[in-house]
Amino acid sequence: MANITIETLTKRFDDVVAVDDVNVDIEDGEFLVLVGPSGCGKTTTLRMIAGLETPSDGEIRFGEQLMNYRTPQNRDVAMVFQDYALYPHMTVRGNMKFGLEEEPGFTDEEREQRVEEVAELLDISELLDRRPEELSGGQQQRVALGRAIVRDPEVFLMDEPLSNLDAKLRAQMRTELQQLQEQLGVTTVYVTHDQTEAMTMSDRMVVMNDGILQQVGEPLELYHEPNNVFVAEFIGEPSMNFLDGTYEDDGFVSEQLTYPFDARITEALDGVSPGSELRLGIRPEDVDLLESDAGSEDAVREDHTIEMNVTVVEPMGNENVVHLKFPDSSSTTEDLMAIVDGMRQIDAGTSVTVHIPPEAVHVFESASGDALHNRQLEYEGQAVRI
Amino acid sequence: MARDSLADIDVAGIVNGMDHRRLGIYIVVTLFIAFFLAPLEAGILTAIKTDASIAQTVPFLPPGTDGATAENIGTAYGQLQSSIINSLVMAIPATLITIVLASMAAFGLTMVDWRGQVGILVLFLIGVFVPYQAVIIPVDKFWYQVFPLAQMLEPVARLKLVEPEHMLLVPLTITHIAYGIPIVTILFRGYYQSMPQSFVEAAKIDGKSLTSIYTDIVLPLSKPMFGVVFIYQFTQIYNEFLFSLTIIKYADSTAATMTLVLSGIGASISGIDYGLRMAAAFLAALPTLLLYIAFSEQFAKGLQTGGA
Repeated sequence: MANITIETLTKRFDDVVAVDDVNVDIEDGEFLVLVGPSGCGKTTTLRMIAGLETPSDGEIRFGEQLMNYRTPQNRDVAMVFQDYALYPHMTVRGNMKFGLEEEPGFTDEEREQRVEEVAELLDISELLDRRPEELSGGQQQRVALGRAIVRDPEVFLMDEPLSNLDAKLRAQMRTELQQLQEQLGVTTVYVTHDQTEAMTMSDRMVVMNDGILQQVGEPLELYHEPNNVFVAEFIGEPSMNFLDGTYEDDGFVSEQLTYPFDARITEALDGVSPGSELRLGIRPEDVDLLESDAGSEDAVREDHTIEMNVTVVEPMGNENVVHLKFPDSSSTTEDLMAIVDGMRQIDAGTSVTVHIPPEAVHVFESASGDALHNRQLEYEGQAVRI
Repeated sequence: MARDSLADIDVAGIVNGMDHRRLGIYIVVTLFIAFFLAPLEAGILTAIKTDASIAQTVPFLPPGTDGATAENIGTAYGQLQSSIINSLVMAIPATLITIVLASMAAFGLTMVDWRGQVGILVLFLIGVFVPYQAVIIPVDKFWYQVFPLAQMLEPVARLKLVEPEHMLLVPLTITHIAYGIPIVTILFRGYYQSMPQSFVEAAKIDGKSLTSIYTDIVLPLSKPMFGVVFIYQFTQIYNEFLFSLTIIKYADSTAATMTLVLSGIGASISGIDYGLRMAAAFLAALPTLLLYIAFSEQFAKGLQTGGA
């Protein structure tokens, strides 16, 4: 078992900086997910940990040992590839045993036995004598996983292993993989572009963009307390709503909306000069749609409500995703998205009163995208849903 | 009865089902087939005609019952027999060694990273474009003066198994290997580039050596490509004339290859024996034809996957 230390890790391909000054400590036995849009440098980072790429700068250590110049075979890592990399001319047994052949201290019988054990663990015993081409995508995925597990490495590296599976199987494998990792307790670095995978599976996740590490933390921490606009937007489905405006009179002012901040927010915006550009963020599930006559219950709420038009309603069954537009909006897409209960009847084309609770609002600086204020995690108004 | 069954055929339906474009394609294809196959057909027919029949009938028409003979084929077989064996003894090892070496070279040039590999690749590419004519004099000088290998090997021939002249086949084989490696390497390189890089990477992470990656993974997966390249390279070497002429020199040498002997068969001061020449040409082509038939499936498969 090993903890992994990554310090000022940088990778340049000629002029392109693929990974730029990344620092992460990965604890022993941790399930760390590297997530980001394609081309963000997450796979390059993983390949540097594997030893398939040499870092241009920085250090990778397993425990106390510097790994930078070690060949992959001397790192005791096992990797699951996106295309599984199963050898088509070998049986499943051959594939799983192949990696084990270089492990010292095994007799051939013990290797055979180990393969059988792992096959049992993954429930693929009956596939052992088949060839990869005869297996379904999900089964191939298991074999690829088995090939990694069989070697009992210090570190598992997984490069988008579930991306070739259909949605249902992916969800199932997500849970299974997570349980398996917990059971084996092997440090795992997992790369994906799918934020749902990252959120559901990881102990901690690393969000990357353009080679730069954006934020490291537990999934809910990143969800509720994003460092910047990128993280806020990337995490969560549907993603966070953003409104652009300026900071005026202790509030947020845009063309369509004047939104007074409460004391807690203005405190956080202490150093921000009036007139500077702000981005207001609110998660769709925090946007309340009030019945039109219930709009004026109290003064505070009055301040944070606005009339908007419903353009599209996407019924998901358990919930409805409601697309909203300001009455005088010029934008072609929606200005705001809201998630409401699936049983509630809302029709496209109608007008609704939208309540944006100040407790749930995020405030970002427009230019840098940095978070100035994140939502409160506990507040009473949360339960107010009509 | 016959009239009725003919009437049953829906001629209009067949014609309607075929639009003009399709009809045009069929006509062009048929013409091309006729164009390419006519000489072959004429050749085969000439091979089984007597001299008199050749003079009297049009080449692409069959001989009459009295004009057919197997004599030409028998004569040609007698004259070509030993040279075809010489050619096979030279071409089969030359092809196999070329393929093994070239696939190793291609593996090293595509799936392994090392400094200066582009330079080496460029050398291979240049090798592809060196014309035969440009090297025949150096080849002659090399094998007769600089490094007379055949002469050195003559003691081996004293074991009475073969004639000393047969030793000339060794330098010829080596020349063909050297000349064939560049193009075959490039063919294999294309194939290996289309192979997922993750195969090699997965094996590297599992601690496999380069040798093991080659023998356990790359080599077994190259099978279809081996088929393609074997057919291609064997045909090249078997049909090659210039190197044989340069190194073996004489058609009456005991080591003469098929191409050397074939050029003289049926030609004499008294005229050209067309029947004999045609018969010899078909006998000479037989090994490559059989090879194509035997490996046709693998050949097609290799072309598909290799994109060569």
